[in-house]
Amino acid sequence: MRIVKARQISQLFFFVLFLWFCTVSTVGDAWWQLRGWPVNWFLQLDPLVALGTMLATRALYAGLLWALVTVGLTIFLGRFFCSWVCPFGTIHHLVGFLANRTRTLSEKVARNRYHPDQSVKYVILVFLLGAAAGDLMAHPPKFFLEQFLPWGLLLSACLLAGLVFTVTSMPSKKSAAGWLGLFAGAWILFGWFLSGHDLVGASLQTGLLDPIPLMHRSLNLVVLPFADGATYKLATSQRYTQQAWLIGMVFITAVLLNLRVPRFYCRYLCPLGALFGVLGRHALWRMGSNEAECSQCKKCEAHCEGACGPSREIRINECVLCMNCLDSCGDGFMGYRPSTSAAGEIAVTDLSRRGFVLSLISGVVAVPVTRLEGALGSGWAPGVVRPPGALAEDDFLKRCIKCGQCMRACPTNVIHPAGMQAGWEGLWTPVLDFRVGTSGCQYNCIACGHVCPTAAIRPITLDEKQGKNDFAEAGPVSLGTAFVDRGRCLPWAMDRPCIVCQENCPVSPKAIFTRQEYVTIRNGQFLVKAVRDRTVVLDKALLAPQSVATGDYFCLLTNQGDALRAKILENTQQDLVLGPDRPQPEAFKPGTSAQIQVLLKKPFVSPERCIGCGICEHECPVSGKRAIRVTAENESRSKRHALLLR
Amino acid sequence: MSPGHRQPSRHEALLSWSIMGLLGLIATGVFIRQFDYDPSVINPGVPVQLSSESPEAARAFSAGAGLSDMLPPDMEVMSPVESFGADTLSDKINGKAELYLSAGFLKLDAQRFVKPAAPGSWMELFAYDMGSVRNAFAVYSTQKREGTAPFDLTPFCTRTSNALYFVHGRQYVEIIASVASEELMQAMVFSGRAFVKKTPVKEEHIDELALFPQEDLEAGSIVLLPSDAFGFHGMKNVFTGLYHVNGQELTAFLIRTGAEDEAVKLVAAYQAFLEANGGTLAPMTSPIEGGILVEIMETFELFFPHGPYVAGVHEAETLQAAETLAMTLEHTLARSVR
Amino acid sequence: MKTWRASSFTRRDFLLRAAKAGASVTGAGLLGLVLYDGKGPQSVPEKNGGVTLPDFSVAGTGHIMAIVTGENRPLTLRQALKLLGGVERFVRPGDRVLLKVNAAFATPPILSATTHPDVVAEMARLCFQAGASSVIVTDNPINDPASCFALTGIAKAARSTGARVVLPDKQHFEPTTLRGGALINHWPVLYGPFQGVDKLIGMAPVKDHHRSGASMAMKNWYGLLGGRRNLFHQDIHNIIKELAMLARPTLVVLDGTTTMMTNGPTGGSLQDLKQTNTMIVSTDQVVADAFGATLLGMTTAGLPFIGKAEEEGVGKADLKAIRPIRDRVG
Repeated sequence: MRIVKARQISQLFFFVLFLWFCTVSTVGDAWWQLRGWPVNWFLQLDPLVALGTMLATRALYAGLLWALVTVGLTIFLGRFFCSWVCPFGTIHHLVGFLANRTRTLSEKVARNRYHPDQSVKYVILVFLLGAAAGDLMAHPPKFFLEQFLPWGLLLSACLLAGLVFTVTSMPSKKSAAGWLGLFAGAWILFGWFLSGHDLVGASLQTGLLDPIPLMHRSLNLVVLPFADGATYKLATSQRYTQQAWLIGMVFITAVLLNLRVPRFYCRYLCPLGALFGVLGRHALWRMGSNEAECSQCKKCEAHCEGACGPSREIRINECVLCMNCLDSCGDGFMGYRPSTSAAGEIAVTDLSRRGFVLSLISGVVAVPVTRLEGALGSGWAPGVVRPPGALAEDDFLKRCIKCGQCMRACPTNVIHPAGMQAGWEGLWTPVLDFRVGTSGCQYNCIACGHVCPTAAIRPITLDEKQGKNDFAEAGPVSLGTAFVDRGRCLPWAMDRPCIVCQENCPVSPKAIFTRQEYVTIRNGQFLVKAVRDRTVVLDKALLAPQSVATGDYFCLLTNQGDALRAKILENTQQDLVLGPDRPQPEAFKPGTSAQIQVLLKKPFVSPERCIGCGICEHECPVSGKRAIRVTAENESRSKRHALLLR
Repeated sequence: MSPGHRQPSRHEALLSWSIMGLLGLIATGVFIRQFDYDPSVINPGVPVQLSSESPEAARAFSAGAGLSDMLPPDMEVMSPVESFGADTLSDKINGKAELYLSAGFLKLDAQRFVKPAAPGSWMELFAYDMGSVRNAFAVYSTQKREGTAPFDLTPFCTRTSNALYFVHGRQYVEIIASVASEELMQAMVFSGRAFVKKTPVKEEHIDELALFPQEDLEAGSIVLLPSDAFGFHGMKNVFTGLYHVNGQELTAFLIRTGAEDEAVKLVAAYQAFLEANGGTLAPMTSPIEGGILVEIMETFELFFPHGPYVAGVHEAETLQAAETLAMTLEHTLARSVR
Repeated sequence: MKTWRASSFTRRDFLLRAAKAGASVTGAGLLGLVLYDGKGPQSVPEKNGGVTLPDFSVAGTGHIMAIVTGENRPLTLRQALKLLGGVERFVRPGDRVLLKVNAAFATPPILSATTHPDVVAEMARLCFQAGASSVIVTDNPINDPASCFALTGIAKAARSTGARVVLPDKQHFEPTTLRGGALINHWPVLYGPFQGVDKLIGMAPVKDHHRSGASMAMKNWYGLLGGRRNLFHQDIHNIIKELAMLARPTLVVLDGTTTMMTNGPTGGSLQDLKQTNTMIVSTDQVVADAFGATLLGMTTAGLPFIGKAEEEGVGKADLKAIRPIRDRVG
């Protein structure tokens, strides 16, 4: 079997596997539902996720250990992931191929020529890693000695990586050491000034451009929901996504750019590819030519996916191991060899020292500048209600890779990607929207935390969520508190009985309770004309028949000392049939006051019981701006937003 | 793209095929992995169209994850765990709910397992949380069925040809198979053992059982009647045991009240009840202190207080048999109770 | 940009590269394994821990109180301290003294919503006379700290004596847990200024308070709390009790010269004030408050925090048992 065919099969395999994982991300135990499918495997294999979370949180969470496999294989074999595994790459490859099919050889070669702007992806990578490394800047250097594990270890690793980077790209070891010293010195200086600063911190934004989370997000939130409305449904009802347009646009744009240049995203934008490029620079086996000189027919470059220039000195960190050059070379010169190419290699990272430093500083600085908005302090956004088990906001932003797995798994479709509600850092992070979706956050569901690959949403047990057994003292997890909008609520503002919210509150005892009040309705003041048995005849025929006979209306008859309030069972334009008490005709002679009243049960919220699940908001019949809304006060994840003492 | 006639080298072909093999391994690994999942996450018991259903119904389906631990090796989960509380129990077992509800029922978890190879062979597990060993014993002992044989899974355990019943701690467990087969019985025993192993319980003895004289007692015949025993509302938590004395079948009973004077009061009350229903007081020949003998509807009722206990013989055919058994009862009580 | 020409393939070359690659992989692997965290972040049950405020009381000076009537604050304060044995009984040479004043609002001294600057100055002066090496004046105000200390005149008063005002800063706050308390649980308190401090003197005016009834010596410690401390208004009497348990001062100075009788704690009008001309100095903050209540026309029973603090053993509320020393100046 030709290696190119193996590559194609591999691409197809991983693409289908990825698609399958996205498809089964619905809670349930049927074969086509979540069960034990390792739906996060691609995210766990992604070393950018692992590296980003490691820098931001100084820990490598559980399944992310898989990234070591990818890293190890890349160090040995080169950038295999890009053209053998990455599903986003597969799409680019396919679209690029289809776009190029009708072109001539020289046109194809022109489109696959290396362009210096391919270094932009390294800038992006360093920028994102800089933003994620902010915490390492936020402490004075002596801190790292005191807390060597894991702080000091991580920092040493970064410095070592920096050393390796500078040494291999420097002409002399002395200037390398000089640069490293300068770098370390600058860091110590900054550390001294900035340590303890509120605004300096880590922010994980790799998920914006990292292809695996991007692909999950685009499929989960834009592509698959189309399948939800079709005949053979994945979900029981159409799922919606806030921000779908932006996510979709980014995805479609990236795909369509391949019409211009094949694998545009991979070559120019992909930070994961950049990381692989750095890791795979000294791979043991690499693509290369067996001969120093060749006929320069350029057939190899016609289908070169990485634009790495195999016909001359091959740029080894751009080579994505697509093996097309090997397949196309009529003379059999190209091979996957354990030594450097006979025609030479260019093995320097395309990012100059200046570029590296600038990108890094920009990344580090971008975070405090964004945080000047105060979104993590007193300017926090009350509309940002996060899923149960989510960490406090600053820790959350260090872990969320915006992959959308929680949004896809949520059985009631209430988790949505944020727009600007949570600031720039919070773009596409999960927030709860109780209007869109089929209900609120289900009382017995803990799916989102168990599906989150980085524990930005912790995997909590049902006991912890409901505050039972071991967690009885801590109480249930609260997402926020519901607030009754008395200006919109039907019983409060509009004389209409309701209490749907109280009926649907899932906790026991309920967090919504009611207080009763009898209110005379508009134009409800009458005088008695006659009383016959159970029927009271009013002095004016103004009522709509049966309009006050729903069981919520009462007639209040008052006559000096006597008063009787009886339920109205039926009414005509002028008569009311009351029950079960009979009004005594002697007591209520013609001319006594008869008021038609409605019994209103007005809802109140008990904040110590409310868990912010949003079912009340969802069920509220005031369907535009709901008359009871959940905001994030008293969410358990953040002590500072507490409403109550405990 | 590439000329179809290019022949791959041996190395290339070997590499390609090994990669194919690796892909195959990955696919297998993924397939195996999907069997392993946490039911409490996967089965939130969310009825799909939730808007129209009440939250009570949603809560009724809360996951009792533990039952899936009892899955026998060659069987599969057939349906998700169903949970029922006091107000929904009758949805599952209809009229029988009354028996459990009056005995302190708290919660029922039920689940079905099936043999995938033989879809007609399935079994259903019912785990009733009765709140205490006594309550569990009560519902266990009052449901004696034809053809039950004791089984040594727990101190209180019997089985029939297609079912296994036992008490473990405060749980009363029934495992009922769709067909009476040896295979299913083995599976049920497996599940029963898994259940027992999974829920460690403190050794809880039911003291009254030891107070019944062992001689002539029919094995496994002790029953705990939670309420309204013998038609009298004052008789609560009555232990009865079946005796075969001289060819006669006799029922002995034992009740533990709170205190001595309560026992005396209960004796008097029962006597009054019997007399009100046509019984006549008769003289006893045996020297049982405080003992009362009532002849009612051609049977003899002999009962006496002993410390906080009330013990006696119920519906005996002959006076001698009643008195003999009553004496033995008293001796056993006197020995065991200080 | 460098290029390398083809080198002939040698096994040694390959093995060298293989070794380097292996080392990188091992390094990455080790880093990953060391940082490996299988469980992920756990729910935060950060119950106990944090700093503790030490006990600043001087041995053998428990439960004594001096009450001096007079118009002149420095004079009455001096006399009251003399009656208790002189300031030297409490401040030793070389001591670092912290004066915890009430600078909660940015209001002028005549409104009596904050500690009067004359009292602050006199206290600082007396401490220095007794040989104190430094005197710090601090509080965590409700309004902006700089304007509070400035407009109340406390900053000027402190500086004029050589005392130092410490404005609260984020880094000064450390979480603390009160043993035996239910509310102060891992809550930030103003701890920074206390580093190296030997004596603590609380200085507060006598004020009516809308929520708690009165704000006197015990309520003064509210100014040590950080975070979103307004939450504690939901359980005001218990928080005052816990604050009194948390802070164990050398002395409290309760300035009842001009008492805010209504509309506390901010007041705002001179009509809210009454000239009661009484200076209270005590080592027992409970009895100081109990006496202060009489200036407001209130009873101990009407101020539940006094009884609660007494139950916890913070001090005694019975005026008759303590038997204050009284005097008059001018």
